[in-house]
Amino acid sequence: MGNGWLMALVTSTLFNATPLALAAMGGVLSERAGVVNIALEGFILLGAFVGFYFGLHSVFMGVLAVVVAGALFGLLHAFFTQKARMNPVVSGLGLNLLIAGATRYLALRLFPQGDHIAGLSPNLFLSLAAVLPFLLVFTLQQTKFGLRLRAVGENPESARMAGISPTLPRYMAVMLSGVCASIAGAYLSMADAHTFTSDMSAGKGYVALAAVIFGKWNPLGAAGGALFFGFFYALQTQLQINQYHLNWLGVEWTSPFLLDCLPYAMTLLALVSVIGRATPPAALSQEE
Amino acid sequence: MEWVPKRWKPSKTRSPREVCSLRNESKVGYNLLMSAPPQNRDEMNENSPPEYAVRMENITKRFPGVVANQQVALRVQAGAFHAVIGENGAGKSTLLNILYGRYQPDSGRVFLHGREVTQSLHSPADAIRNGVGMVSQHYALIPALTVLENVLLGAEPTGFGGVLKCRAAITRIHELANQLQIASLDVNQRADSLSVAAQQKVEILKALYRGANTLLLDEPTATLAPQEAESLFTLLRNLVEKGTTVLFVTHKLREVAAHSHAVTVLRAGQNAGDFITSETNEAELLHCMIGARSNSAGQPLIPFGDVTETEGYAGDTWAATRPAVSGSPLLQIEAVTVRNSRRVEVVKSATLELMHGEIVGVAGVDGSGQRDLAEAILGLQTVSIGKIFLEGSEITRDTVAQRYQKGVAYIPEDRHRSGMILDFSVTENYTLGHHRQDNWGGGTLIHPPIMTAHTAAMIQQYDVRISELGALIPARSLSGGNQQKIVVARAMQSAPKLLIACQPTRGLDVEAARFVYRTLEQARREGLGILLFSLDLEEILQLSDRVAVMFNGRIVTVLSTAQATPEEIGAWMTGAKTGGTEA
Repeated sequence: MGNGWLMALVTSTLFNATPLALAAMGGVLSERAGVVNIALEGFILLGAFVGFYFGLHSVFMGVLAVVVAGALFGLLHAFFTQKARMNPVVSGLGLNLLIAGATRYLALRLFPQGDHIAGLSPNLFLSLAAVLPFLLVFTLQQTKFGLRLRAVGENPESARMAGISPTLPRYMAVMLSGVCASIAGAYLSMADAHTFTSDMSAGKGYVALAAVIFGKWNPLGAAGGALFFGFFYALQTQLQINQYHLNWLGVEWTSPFLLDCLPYAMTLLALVSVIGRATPPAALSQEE
Repeated sequence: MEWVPKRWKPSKTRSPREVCSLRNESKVGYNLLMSAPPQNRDEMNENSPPEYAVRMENITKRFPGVVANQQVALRVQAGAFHAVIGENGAGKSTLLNILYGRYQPDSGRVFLHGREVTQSLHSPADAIRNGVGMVSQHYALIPALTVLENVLLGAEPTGFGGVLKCRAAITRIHELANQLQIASLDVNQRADSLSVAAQQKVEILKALYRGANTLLLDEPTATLAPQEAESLFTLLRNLVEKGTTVLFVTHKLREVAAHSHAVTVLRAGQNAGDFITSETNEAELLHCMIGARSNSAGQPLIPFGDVTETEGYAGDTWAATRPAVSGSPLLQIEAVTVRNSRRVEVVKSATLELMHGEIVGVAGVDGSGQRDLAEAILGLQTVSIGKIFLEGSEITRDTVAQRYQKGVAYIPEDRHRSGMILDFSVTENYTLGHHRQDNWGGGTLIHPPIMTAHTAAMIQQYDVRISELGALIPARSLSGGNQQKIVVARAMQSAPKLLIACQPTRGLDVEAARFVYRTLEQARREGLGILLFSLDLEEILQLSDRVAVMFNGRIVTVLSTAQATPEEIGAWMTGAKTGGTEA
């Protein structure tokens, strides 16, 4: 134990935070543009599946397919919410269910015995997750696209009055959001598990969304949130690996079943503590 | 007002005055007006066609259930300070929004500086390209963005990769700010840290930054203190002198008289007359604006302060009927502090007393804490520090329902958001809040027959205009005036002791506003205490026995009727005067 245990915990935290941070950047993009995006969960699963399947042939194909699929499904979410005026939660939920069902079915059809890929180095994803938040801060604050994206997310009608159409920034934002989240998914299948299992996103999209709220819709804050939640994933894993036991009040608190809940319980606690203090982009809370 | 447009002269064959009276007297004359004058005017000016910055012809715009504009014509001379007036619902804003590309007209043509743009005016972006800028009433600056970002938005100077290049833009903004005499503008300030008046000036700056030569303003003074309004008009006049065309929409006749060169009057979505300001007067404009609804003695039924002075409508009459204010206070607010959800103090140690049979007006620039104070008295917001007493007993911690029970009633400021549930029926809306009372049946279940009976009585008493389908239609389908009648009737239904009225006439036409005033006045005579929150100073001055002024969350002063002049109130509202009677 001792130092080795601590190092393992730190490393594990970083790698657990990686997919959360990547997906959270997607969340920031979409939500700052005023589109609620609970489809992050589905996009992660999509990225995991597509990355694995196409990655079986070549890694490059896998990555390309992940980006394209993420953009396409992002486009779909943008189309449903913007053009078809669907409630973004309904659209997101629909996409999540669709992707969960489709990937489970396709996985059973295409590789019923499971399969294994060499994939990519996790460090690649980690680097991306470390750089992306800063890139996003710059984009949001210092570029025309970022300014318009924020304007549209705060008040589409005011933006329209200023002579810009809310459509383009929103479509772009939601598509990029899809790309970010599916890259997060690619990390899971291509760099972490080296295989695909159905529902392997396991709620990470929702936790990423929590990180966005935790970070007050700021890319760096959201990355911080991802680290925070990543820590509890790591802690839970480390406790299980080390077979640490805590029996209190007749409950085996370190049972794997309870430990599995830890990150999610912390998510809930963290959100409760920021609720009321976080100000979302104004257009998010508006019913259209 | 010695300014007279050089080339635009009203038709000699039919002066605007005649036009107006013709409309009132006969349908024939009215029809004549609708078809004839535009051609007439064109013919007359054939030799020296006037340069119109804006020319709109035969504009018709329908919304579901309403015709907002019907065959409306608007001609604004280049370089003029032009006013469009009319009551709420007369179609002024619609016309402006068509010109700015926000709405597309169903028919009609739009010309800017002689060039037809009807086909190319599909969005504000198109209007901006054509040199039109708009300062809107509701969709102003984006609060969370900085001044710089707001000004640049939509006209961003960018370098490689779409990165913003702000330096030159900032220099230009400071130049414009100097021209507009906006003192000490910090471009990196968030827009919502500016006062409403300053935000408006930034909006003008924003329009000029894009090279607007025609500026549209929709009710620009609706939420300003008198001094701020004055300063805005000075700024606009300077712009006009430099060649900008200014077109503003208002229902305040005094502004029109004091500042405009020419006036277009709209009534019920149609043209009612065109005037040159120097050749008309407020009474005539008013007559044209409200038309046949002025009463037989020629005295308009109008609750405007502008008219009060000349017509002697309010002041004396109402003062004479004032009941003796009884000794014990009805409502006592003691050093009440309210914090909003972000823990910011929005009401700071406010102290106020209200007697039985008294109307106390609460004035203030929009967002000075009036809404929060009203909601705290009602129990919608929690009082952090301080106490509230109703007839001597404390209600600070009572629930809203308990306060209703004890005789508090409420007219919310936004009847669409908090006053009604628009998709509920008239009956259901009228029942809301009373459903627990014994005379509504009480108990767990609601009692439709009782509800229906009560509602029918109310419809009769308040003369609510309702379709054949009766009180089961959704409240949404009623006009604003009729909706407000229901909101007011519901507040008065339980025979309250204290009425909290927030902007009770907002968005109402003159008739409906008068109804509200009558109801309030009647209620006060019966001993009700009324706390009147309003952004409309004229309204406050007319109805109130005393005027409390809020600034930055504090009640900075309480003025008697004698002290309460618009200038005095304005000085307190803007913080120019501080430290008055507050304990």
